[in-house]
Amino acid sequence: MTMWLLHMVVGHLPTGFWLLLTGAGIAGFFAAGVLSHFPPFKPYTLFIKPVAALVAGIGIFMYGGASINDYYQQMIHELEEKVKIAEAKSQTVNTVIEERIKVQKQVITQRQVEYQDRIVEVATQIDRDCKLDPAVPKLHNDAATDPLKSVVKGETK
Amino acid sequence: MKKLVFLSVFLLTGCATPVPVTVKFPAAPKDLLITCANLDKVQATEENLSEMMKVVVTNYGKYHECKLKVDSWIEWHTKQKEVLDAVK
Repeated sequence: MTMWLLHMVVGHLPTGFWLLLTGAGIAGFFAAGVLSHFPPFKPYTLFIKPVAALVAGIGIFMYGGASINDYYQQMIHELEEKVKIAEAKSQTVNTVIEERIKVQKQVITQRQVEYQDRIVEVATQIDRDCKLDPAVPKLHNDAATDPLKSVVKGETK
Repeated sequence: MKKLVFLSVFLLTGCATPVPVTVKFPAAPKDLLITCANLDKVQATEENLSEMMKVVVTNYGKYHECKLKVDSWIEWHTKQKEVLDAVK
């Protein structure tokens, strides 16, 4: 929870803020060095110097973290854009395939109807000269039966 | 000690964890999700060749439809893979 709160607060600060903080820390450190030469300010410099060093350290650390964070955020953004484009392309592929399937199915159906009609046209002629032996439908039906269906049934029994 | 813990937590907030971006598995066209139909059969008592021919023609049609589905699946997979590979 604390981590999340801190991340919320710190995460919204611009990267430049940490650079400024580092600069301020370094400046404070050197200013404390200069002030130490003046006797009235000397006691304060003993406090200012370590605080300024700490501020500079935190600033450097956070600037590094913020820079890495910015880099990753940029990478995530680029990747999200790529994913968006890919999803749109993927949808286009689906649409193209769906349309083509629709058209080709129509062609297949039309051709089937055409051949069924041609059979009807010559049915009398075909049936006059040829009578099917009862073995023929059986052979045809056996061949048309899905061979894997019987195998699967056999396995499950 | 409390201050030290607070400082550690504060400093560790600099280590941001990137959010992983995932690509959704693309949905296939609805037509491709229907299995191929079983072949029609001739009536056992059928004597007319023309009637048998009708069944054969219907079955050829079913084969062509099934072939269309398989070919479309191959094309779908190839193209979707190309699209997905472009993201990586």
